[in-house]
Amino acid sequence: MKRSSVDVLIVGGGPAGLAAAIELRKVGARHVRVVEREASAGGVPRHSFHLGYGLRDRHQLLSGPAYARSYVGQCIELGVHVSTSTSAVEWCGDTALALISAHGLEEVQARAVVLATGARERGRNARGVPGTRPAGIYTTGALQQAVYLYQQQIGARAVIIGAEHVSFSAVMTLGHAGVKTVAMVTREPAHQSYFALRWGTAIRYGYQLVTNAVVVEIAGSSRVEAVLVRMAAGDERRIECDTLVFTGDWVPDHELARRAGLALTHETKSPAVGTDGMTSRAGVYAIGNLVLPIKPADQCALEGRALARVIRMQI
Amino acid sequence: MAIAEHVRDLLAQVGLVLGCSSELPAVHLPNLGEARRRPYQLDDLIGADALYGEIVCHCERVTRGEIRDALAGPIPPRSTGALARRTRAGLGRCQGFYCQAELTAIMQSGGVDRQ
Repeated sequence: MKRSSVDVLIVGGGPAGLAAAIELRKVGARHVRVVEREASAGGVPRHSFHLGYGLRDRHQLLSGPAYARSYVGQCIELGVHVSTSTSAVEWCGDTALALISAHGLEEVQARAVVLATGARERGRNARGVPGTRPAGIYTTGALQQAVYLYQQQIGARAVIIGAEHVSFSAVMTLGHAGVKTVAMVTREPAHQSYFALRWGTAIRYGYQLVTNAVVVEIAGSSRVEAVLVRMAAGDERRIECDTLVFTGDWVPDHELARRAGLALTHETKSPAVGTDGMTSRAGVYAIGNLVLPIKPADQCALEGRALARVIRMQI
Repeated sequence: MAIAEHVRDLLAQVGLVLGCSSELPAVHLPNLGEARRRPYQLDDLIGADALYGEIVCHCERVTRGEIRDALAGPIPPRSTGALARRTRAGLGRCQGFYCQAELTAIMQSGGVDRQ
Protein backbone atom coordinates (compact mmCIF):
# COMPACT_ATOMS: atom_id res chain seq x y z
CA MET A 1 0.00 0.00 0.00
CA LYS A 2 1.16 3.51 -0.87
CA ARG A 3 1.48 6.14 1.84
CA SER A 4 1.79 9.86 1.32
CA SER A 5 1.23 13.11 3.13
CA VAL A 6 -0.12 16.50 2.12
CA ASP A 7 -0.84 19.81 3.80
CA VAL A 8 -4.50 19.87 2.87
CA LEU A 9 -6.59 17.00 1.47
CA ILE A 10 -9.85 18.09 -0.11
CA VAL A 11 -12.51 15.44 -0.72
CA GLY A 12 -14.76 16.42 -3.63
CA GLY A 13 -13.76 18.32 -6.76
CA GLY A 14 -16.85 20.49 -7.19
CA PRO A 15 -16.94 24.30 -7.07
CA ALA A 16 -16.44 24.43 -3.27
CA GLY A 17 -13.50 22.01 -3.18
CA LEU A 18 -11.72 23.40 -6.23
CA ALA A 19 -12.15 27.04 -5.12
CA ALA A 20 -10.73 26.14 -1.70
CA ALA A 21 -7.76 24.40 -3.33
CA ILE A 22 -7.03 27.37 -5.61
CA GLU A 23 -7.20 29.87 -2.76
CA LEU A 24 -5.02 27.68 -0.53
CA ARG A 25 -2.31 27.69 -3.19
CA LYS A 26 -2.66 31.46 -3.60
CA VAL A 27 -2.17 32.07 0.10
CA GLY A 28 0.86 29.80 0.18
CA ALA A 29 -0.16 26.29 1.19
CA ARG A 30 2.39 23.94 -0.34
CA HIS A 31 0.88 20.58 -1.04
CA VAL A 32 -2.85 20.70 -1.74
CA ARG A 33 -4.56 17.61 -3.11
CA VAL A 34 -8.13 17.27 -4.36
CA VAL A 35 -9.73 13.83 -4.58
CA GLU A 36 -12.57 13.44 -7.09
CA ARG A 37 -14.34 10.11 -7.52
CA GLU A 38 -15.76 10.93 -10.97
CA ALA A 39 -13.63 10.70 -14.11
CA SER A 40 -13.34 14.49 -14.32
CA ALA A 41 -13.45 17.25 -11.72
CA GLY A 42 -15.98 20.11 -11.73
CA GLY A 43 -18.93 18.65 -9.86
CA VAL A 44 -22.55 19.17 -10.85
CA PRO A 45 -21.83 22.16 -13.22
CA ARG A 46 -20.05 19.67 -15.53
CA HIS A 47 -23.39 18.37 -16.69
CA SER A 48 -25.54 21.48 -16.29
CA PHE A 49 -25.24 23.02 -19.74
CA HIS A 50 -27.34 26.14 -19.41
CA LEU A 51 -26.12 29.61 -18.45
CA GLY A 52 -26.30 30.91 -14.90
CA TYR A 53 -22.91 30.09 -13.40
CA GLY A 54 -20.10 32.32 -12.19
CA LEU A 55 -21.90 35.59 -11.41
CA ARG A 56 -20.80 36.01 -7.81
CA ASP A 57 -17.31 34.52 -8.01
CA ARG A 58 -16.16 34.98 -11.62
CA HIS A 59 -18.27 38.08 -12.37
CA GLN A 60 -19.20 36.47 -15.66
CA LEU A 61 -22.24 34.60 -16.95
CA LEU A 62 -21.02 31.11 -17.84
CA SER A 63 -22.53 27.74 -18.71
CA GLY A 64 -21.98 24.93 -16.20
CA PRO A 65 -19.25 23.10 -18.17
CA ALA A 66 -17.38 26.35 -18.96
CA TYR A 67 -17.53 27.25 -15.29
CA ALA A 68 -16.26 23.80 -14.25
CA ARG A 69 -13.44 23.98 -16.82
CA SER A 70 -12.35 27.40 -15.56
CA TYR A 71 -11.88 25.99 -12.06
CA VAL A 72 -10.12 22.82 -13.18
CA GLY A 73 -7.82 24.88 -15.43
CA GLN A 74 -6.92 27.23 -12.63
CA CYS A 75 -6.15 24.29 -10.33
CA ILE A 76 -3.70 22.89 -12.87
CA GLU A 77 -2.07 26.30 -13.38
CA LEU A 78 -1.55 26.74 -9.66
CA GLY A 79 -0.16 23.26 -9.10
CA VAL A 80 -3.03 21.70 -7.21
CA HIS A 81 -2.78 17.91 -7.33
CA VAL A 82 -6.19 16.75 -8.62
CA SER A 83 -6.77 12.98 -8.49
CA THR A 84 -9.82 11.94 -10.54
CA SER A 85 -11.47 8.48 -10.55
CA THR A 86 -10.25 8.25 -6.97
CA SER A 87 -12.55 7.57 -4.03
CA ALA A 88 -11.90 8.44 -0.40
CA VAL A 89 -13.49 5.43 1.26
CA GLU A 90 -12.39 5.28 4.87
CA TRP A 91 -10.63 7.17 7.64
CA CYS A 92 -7.32 5.81 8.81
CA GLY A 93 -6.52 8.53 11.34
CA ASP A 94 -8.00 11.78 12.64
CA THR A 95 -6.93 13.64 9.51
CA ALA A 96 -5.93 10.73 7.29
CA LEU A 97 -7.96 8.96 4.62
CA ALA A 98 -7.70 5.76 2.57
CA LEU A 99 -8.07 6.34 -1.17
CA ILE A 100 -8.96 3.81 -3.86
CA SER A 101 -8.18 4.16 -7.55
CA ALA A 102 -6.95 2.06 -10.46
CA HIS A 103 -3.48 2.58 -8.96
CA GLY A 104 -4.52 0.70 -5.83
CA LEU A 105 -4.94 1.68 -2.21
CA GLU A 106 -3.27 4.73 -0.76
CA GLU A 107 -3.26 6.21 2.72
CA VAL A 108 -2.93 9.97 2.79
CA GLN A 109 -2.01 11.78 5.98
CA ALA A 110 -3.03 15.45 5.92
CA ARG A 111 -2.66 18.38 8.28
CA ALA A 112 -6.20 19.40 7.42
CA VAL A 113 -9.03 17.57 5.64
CA VAL A 114 -11.80 19.46 3.85
CA LEU A 115 -15.03 17.59 3.16
CA ALA A 116 -16.70 19.05 0.07
CA THR A 117 -18.74 16.07 -1.03
CA GLY A 118 -21.83 18.05 -2.00
CA ALA A 119 -25.44 16.97 -2.04
CA ARG A 120 -27.75 14.78 -4.09
CA GLU A 121 -31.45 14.85 -4.84
CA ARG A 122 -33.82 12.61 -2.96
CA GLY A 123 -34.94 9.87 -5.29
CA ARG A 124 -38.33 8.31 -5.75
CA ASN A 125 -37.80 5.54 -3.17
CA ALA A 126 -36.60 7.86 -0.41
CA ARG A 127 -39.65 10.07 -1.01
CA GLY A 128 -41.87 7.05 -0.42
CA VAL A 129 -43.65 7.30 -3.78
CA PRO A 130 -45.77 4.18 -4.36
CA GLY A 131 -46.39 2.40 -7.65
CA THR A 132 -44.47 0.24 -10.09
CA ARG A 133 -40.76 0.54 -10.92
CA PRO A 134 -40.64 1.02 -14.68
CA ALA A 135 -37.89 2.58 -16.77
CA GLY A 136 -38.04 6.33 -17.34
CA ILE A 137 -37.59 7.59 -13.77
CA TYR A 138 -34.76 10.05 -13.12
CA THR A 139 -33.42 12.63 -10.77
CA THR A 140 -32.12 15.84 -12.39
CA GLY A 141 -28.53 14.74 -11.77
CA ALA A 142 -29.04 11.37 -13.46
CA LEU A 143 -31.01 13.00 -16.29
CA GLN A 144 -28.34 15.60 -17.03
CA GLN A 145 -25.58 13.00 -17.08
CA ALA A 146 -27.67 10.81 -19.41
CA VAL A 147 -28.36 13.71 -21.77
CA TYR A 148 -25.10 15.66 -21.75
CA LEU A 149 -22.41 13.13 -20.88
CA TYR A 150 -23.84 10.04 -22.61
CA GLN A 151 -26.32 11.40 -25.22
CA GLN A 152 -28.91 8.79 -24.24
CA GLN A 153 -32.50 8.75 -25.54
CA ILE A 154 -34.85 9.92 -22.81
CA GLY A 155 -38.48 9.87 -23.98
CA ALA A 156 -41.24 12.07 -25.39
CA ARG A 157 -43.41 13.45 -22.55
CA ALA A 158 -42.07 14.29 -19.12
CA VAL A 159 -43.51 15.30 -15.76
CA ILE A 160 -41.23 17.06 -13.29
CA ILE A 161 -41.75 16.59 -9.56
CA GLY A 162 -40.67 19.61 -7.50
CA ALA A 163 -40.48 23.32 -8.39
CA GLU A 164 -37.13 24.51 -7.05
CA HIS A 165 -34.33 26.17 -9.05
CA VAL A 166 -33.07 22.78 -10.19
CA SER A 167 -36.51 21.81 -11.48
CA PHE A 168 -36.26 24.55 -14.10
CA SER A 169 -32.79 23.28 -14.97
CA ALA A 170 -34.49 19.93 -15.63
CA VAL A 171 -37.03 21.63 -17.94
CA MET A 172 -34.17 23.06 -20.02
CA THR A 173 -32.31 19.73 -20.09
CA LEU A 174 -35.45 17.92 -21.26
CA GLY A 175 -35.97 20.59 -23.93
CA HIS A 176 -32.42 20.03 -25.14
CA ALA A 177 -33.05 16.26 -25.32
CA GLY A 178 -36.21 16.82 -27.37
CA VAL A 179 -38.55 15.81 -24.55
CA LYS A 180 -41.74 17.79 -24.01
CA THR A 181 -42.33 18.76 -20.39
CA VAL A 182 -46.08 18.55 -19.86
CA ALA A 183 -46.32 19.43 -16.18
CA MET A 184 -44.35 20.42 -13.11
CA VAL A 185 -45.90 19.13 -9.90
CA THR A 186 -45.17 20.54 -6.45
CA ARG A 187 -46.73 19.91 -3.06
CA GLU A 188 -46.07 23.56 -2.17
CA PRO A 189 -48.58 26.34 -2.93
CA ALA A 190 -46.14 28.01 -5.37
CA HIS A 191 -42.81 27.42 -7.12
CA GLN A 192 -39.68 28.30 -5.14
CA SER A 193 -37.50 29.80 -7.85
CA TYR A 194 -37.13 33.11 -9.67
CA PHE A 195 -40.08 34.72 -11.39
CA ALA A 196 -38.02 35.09 -14.58
CA LEU A 197 -37.02 31.42 -14.59
CA ARG A 198 -40.61 30.24 -14.13
CA TRP A 199 -42.09 32.44 -16.85
CA GLY A 200 -39.12 32.24 -19.21
CA THR A 201 -39.29 28.45 -19.28
CA ALA A 202 -43.11 28.49 -19.34
CA ILE A 203 -43.13 30.64 -22.50
CA ARG A 204 -40.39 28.62 -24.19
CA TYR A 205 -41.47 25.11 -23.20
CA GLY A 206 -45.19 25.53 -22.42
CA TYR A 207 -45.80 23.30 -19.42
CA GLN A 208 -48.35 23.52 -16.64
CA LEU A 209 -47.40 24.17 -13.01
CA VAL A 210 -49.54 22.01 -10.72
CA THR A 211 -49.36 23.23 -7.11
CA ASN A 212 -50.58 21.72 -3.83
CA ALA A 213 -50.35 18.30 -5.42
CA VAL A 214 -48.84 15.08 -4.08
CA VAL A 215 -47.68 12.14 -6.19
CA VAL A 216 -49.72 9.11 -5.15
CA GLU A 217 -48.76 6.55 -7.79
CA ILE A 218 -46.48 5.81 -10.70
CA ALA A 219 -48.17 3.68 -13.38
CA GLY A 220 -46.56 1.55 -16.08
CA SER A 221 -44.95 -1.89 -16.29
CA SER A 222 -41.81 -1.75 -18.42
CA ARG A 223 -41.99 1.99 -19.13
CA VAL A 224 -43.63 4.86 -17.21
CA GLU A 225 -47.15 5.40 -18.56
CA ALA A 226 -48.60 7.98 -16.22
CA VAL A 227 -48.31 9.62 -12.84
CA LEU A 228 -51.25 10.01 -10.46
CA VAL A 229 -51.36 13.12 -8.30
CA ARG A 230 -53.75 14.06 -5.52
CA MET A 231 -54.86 17.68 -5.51
CA ALA A 232 -55.53 19.78 -2.40
CA ALA A 233 -59.29 19.23 -2.71
CA GLY A 234 -58.74 15.47 -2.55
CA ASP A 235 -59.46 14.67 -6.19
CA GLU A 236 -56.92 12.67 -8.17
CA ARG A 237 -55.53 13.54 -11.55
CA ARG A 238 -53.76 11.23 -14.00
CA ILE A 239 -51.05 12.80 -16.14
CA GLU A 240 -49.89 10.71 -19.10
CA CYS A 241 -46.12 10.70 -19.52
CA ASP A 242 -43.20 8.37 -20.29
CA THR A 243 -40.58 10.16 -18.21
CA LEU A 244 -40.61 11.30 -14.59
CA VAL A 245 -37.94 13.54 -13.08
CA PHE A 246 -37.70 13.90 -9.31
CA THR A 247 -35.99 17.22 -8.67
CA GLY A 248 -34.57 18.99 -5.64
CA ASP A 249 -35.30 17.86 -2.07
CA TRP A 250 -31.55 17.80 -1.48
CA VAL A 251 -29.70 15.47 0.87
CA PRO A 252 -26.08 16.07 1.88
CA ASP A 253 -23.70 13.32 0.79
CA HIS A 254 -22.35 12.88 4.30
CA GLU A 255 -20.96 9.35 4.20
CA LEU A 256 -17.42 10.30 5.29
CA ALA A 257 -18.71 12.65 7.97
CA ARG A 258 -20.86 9.85 9.36
CA ARG A 259 -18.05 7.32 9.23
CA ALA A 260 -15.90 9.74 11.22
CA GLY A 261 -18.66 10.09 13.79
CA LEU A 262 -18.74 13.87 13.34
CA ALA A 263 -21.56 15.77 15.02
CA LEU A 264 -24.40 16.22 12.52
CA THR A 265 -27.05 18.93 12.46
CA HIS A 266 -30.51 17.88 13.45
CA GLU A 267 -32.27 19.40 10.41
CA THR A 268 -30.30 18.18 7.41
CA LYS A 269 -27.83 15.67 8.91
CA SER A 270 -24.99 17.80 7.56
CA PRO A 271 -21.79 17.93 9.60
CA ALA A 272 -22.17 20.69 12.18
CA VAL A 273 -19.57 23.39 11.63
CA GLY A 274 -18.44 26.43 13.58
CA THR A 275 -17.96 29.91 12.13
CA ASP A 276 -14.46 28.82 11.02
CA GLY A 277 -15.88 25.90 9.03
CA MET A 278 -14.41 23.29 11.38
CA THR A 279 -16.45 20.20 12.22
CA SER A 280 -16.54 18.56 15.64
CA ARG A 281 -13.14 17.00 14.89
CA ALA A 282 -10.13 19.32 14.95
CA GLY A 283 -8.50 19.65 11.55
CA VAL A 284 -11.55 18.41 9.63
CA TYR A 285 -13.58 21.06 7.81
CA ALA A 286 -16.76 20.95 5.76
CA ILE A 287 -17.97 23.35 3.08
CA GLY A 288 -20.35 23.80 0.17
CA ASN A 289 -23.55 21.88 -0.28
CA LEU A 290 -22.49 19.20 2.18
CA VAL A 291 -23.21 21.89 4.77
CA LEU A 292 -26.81 23.06 4.46
CA PRO A 293 -27.95 22.08 0.95
CA ILE A 294 -28.69 23.62 -1.46
CA LYS A 295 -26.75 26.71 -2.52
CA PRO A 296 -25.75 27.97 -5.97
CA ALA A 297 -22.33 26.83 -7.25
CA ASP A 298 -20.81 30.32 -7.07
CA GLN A 299 -21.80 30.67 -3.43
CA CYS A 300 -20.17 27.32 -2.64
CA ALA A 301 -17.02 28.53 -4.40
CA LEU A 302 -16.98 31.72 -2.32
CA GLU A 303 -17.33 29.59 0.82
CA GLY A 304 -14.37 27.53 -0.35
CA ARG A 305 -12.27 30.63 -0.82
CA ALA A 306 -13.11 31.97 2.63
CA LEU A 307 -12.35 28.62 4.27
CA ALA A 308 -8.96 28.45 2.56
CA ARG A 309 -7.84 31.60 4.37
CA VAL A 310 -8.99 30.19 7.71
CA ILE A 311 -7.13 26.92 7.14
CA ARG A 312 -3.98 28.75 6.09
CA MET A 313 -3.91 30.46 9.47
CA GLN A 314 -4.38 27.20 11.33
CA ILE A 315 -1.86 24.90 9.61
CA MET B 1 -35.48 -31.59 -10.92
CA ALA B 2 -38.36 -34.01 -11.42
CA ILE B 3 -39.98 -31.59 -13.89
CA ALA B 4 -36.67 -31.26 -15.74
CA GLU B 5 -36.45 -35.02 -16.03
CA HIS B 6 -40.06 -35.21 -17.23
CA VAL B 7 -39.36 -32.54 -19.88
CA ARG B 8 -36.24 -34.45 -20.95
CA ASP B 9 -38.35 -37.58 -21.47
CA LEU B 10 -40.98 -35.61 -23.41
CA LEU B 11 -38.30 -34.13 -25.67
CA ALA B 12 -36.92 -37.61 -26.32
CA GLN B 13 -40.45 -38.82 -27.15
CA VAL B 14 -40.93 -36.15 -29.85
CA GLY B 15 -37.69 -37.27 -31.43
CA LEU B 16 -35.11 -34.81 -30.21
CA VAL B 17 -31.66 -36.37 -29.89
CA LEU B 18 -30.39 -35.13 -26.56
CA GLY B 19 -26.86 -36.54 -26.53
CA CYS B 20 -24.86 -36.98 -23.36
CA SER B 21 -25.38 -34.75 -20.37
CA SER B 22 -22.49 -32.40 -19.78
CA GLU B 23 -21.13 -30.79 -16.65
CA LEU B 24 -22.77 -27.41 -15.97
CA PRO B 25 -20.49 -24.42 -15.52
CA ALA B 26 -19.83 -23.70 -11.86
CA VAL B 27 -21.91 -20.79 -10.58
CA HIS B 28 -19.63 -18.44 -8.71
CA LEU B 29 -21.41 -15.97 -6.46
CA PRO B 30 -19.65 -12.64 -6.16
CA ASN B 31 -19.03 -11.30 -2.68
CA LEU B 32 -21.64 -8.57 -2.24
CA GLY B 33 -21.76 -8.45 1.53
CA GLU B 34 -19.49 -6.71 4.00
CA ALA B 35 -18.71 -9.87 5.98
CA ARG B 36 -15.69 -10.53 3.79
CA ARG B 37 -13.48 -7.96 2.12
CA ARG B 38 -14.82 -6.51 -1.09
CA PRO B 39 -12.73 -6.20 -4.27
CA TYR B 40 -12.17 -2.44 -3.81
CA GLN B 41 -10.43 -3.17 -0.48
CA LEU B 42 -7.92 -5.63 -1.92
CA ASP B 43 -4.71 -3.88 -2.97
CA ASP B 44 -3.22 -7.04 -4.54
CA LEU B 45 -6.33 -7.66 -6.62
CA ILE B 46 -6.32 -4.05 -7.90
CA GLY B 47 -2.62 -4.41 -8.65
CA ALA B 48 -3.36 -7.46 -10.79
CA ASP B 49 -6.44 -5.95 -12.44
CA ALA B 50 -6.89 -2.17 -12.27
CA LEU B 51 -10.62 -2.36 -13.05
CA TYR B 52 -11.20 -3.50 -9.44
CA GLY B 53 -9.92 -0.08 -8.36
CA GLU B 54 -12.42 1.92 -10.42
CA ILE B 55 -15.60 2.44 -8.45
CA VAL B 56 -18.67 2.97 -10.64
CA CYS B 57 -21.44 2.80 -8.01
CA HIS B 58 -20.06 4.89 -5.16
CA CYS B 59 -22.70 4.11 -2.54
CA GLU B 60 -22.39 0.33 -2.83
CA ARG B 61 -18.74 0.58 -3.96
CA VAL B 62 -19.23 -1.61 -6.98
CA THR B 63 -16.18 -1.58 -9.23
CA ARG B 64 -15.90 -1.70 -13.00
CA GLY B 65 -14.20 -5.11 -12.60
CA GLU B 66 -17.19 -6.60 -10.77
CA ILE B 67 -19.57 -5.27 -13.42
CA ARG B 68 -17.39 -6.74 -16.18
CA ASP B 69 -17.42 -10.10 -14.36
CA ALA B 70 -21.22 -10.00 -14.08
CA LEU B 71 -21.56 -9.24 -17.80
CA ALA B 72 -19.30 -12.22 -18.58
CA GLY B 73 -21.05 -14.55 -16.11
CA PRO B 74 -22.91 -17.75 -17.05
CA ILE B 75 -26.25 -15.91 -16.93
CA PRO B 76 -25.42 -12.37 -18.09
CA PRO B 77 -27.74 -9.49 -17.11
CA ARG B 78 -29.84 -7.91 -19.87
CA SER B 79 -30.99 -4.76 -18.02
CA THR B 80 -29.76 -2.39 -15.34
CA GLY B 81 -32.20 -4.07 -12.94
CA ALA B 82 -30.63 -7.47 -13.62
CA LEU B 83 -27.15 -5.97 -13.22
CA ALA B 84 -28.22 -4.47 -9.89
CA ARG B 85 -29.43 -7.86 -8.61
CA ARG B 86 -26.06 -9.40 -9.47
CA THR B 87 -23.76 -6.65 -8.23
CA ARG B 88 -25.89 -4.18 -6.19
CA ALA B 89 -24.80 -1.39 -8.55
CA GLY B 90 -27.35 1.43 -8.31
CA LEU B 91 -29.09 0.09 -5.21
CA GLY B 92 -27.39 2.30 -2.63
CA ARG B 93 -28.53 5.39 -0.82
CA CYS B 94 -28.43 7.71 -3.85
CA GLN B 95 -30.48 5.26 -5.96
CA GLY B 96 -28.64 6.21 -9.12
CA PHE B 97 -28.28 9.98 -8.78
CA TYR B 98 -24.57 9.57 -9.52
CA CYS B 99 -24.32 6.33 -11.53
CA GLN B 100 -27.65 5.70 -13.31
CA ALA B 101 -26.47 7.23 -16.61
CA GLU B 102 -23.19 5.31 -16.61
CA LEU B 103 -24.88 2.00 -15.73
CA THR B 104 -27.37 2.57 -18.56
CA ALA B 105 -24.46 3.29 -20.92
CA ILE B 106 -22.71 0.09 -19.84
CA MET B 107 -25.83 -2.00 -20.45
CA GLN B 108 -26.47 -0.34 -23.83
CA SER B 109 -22.93 -0.92 -25.05
CA GLY B 110 -22.58 -4.32 -23.38
CA GLY B 111 -19.13 -3.50 -22.03
CA VAL B 112 -17.47 -1.55 -19.27
CA ASP B 113 -15.11 0.52 -21.44
CA ARG B 114 -15.36 4.25 -20.82
CA GLN B 115 -17.09 6.10 -23.65
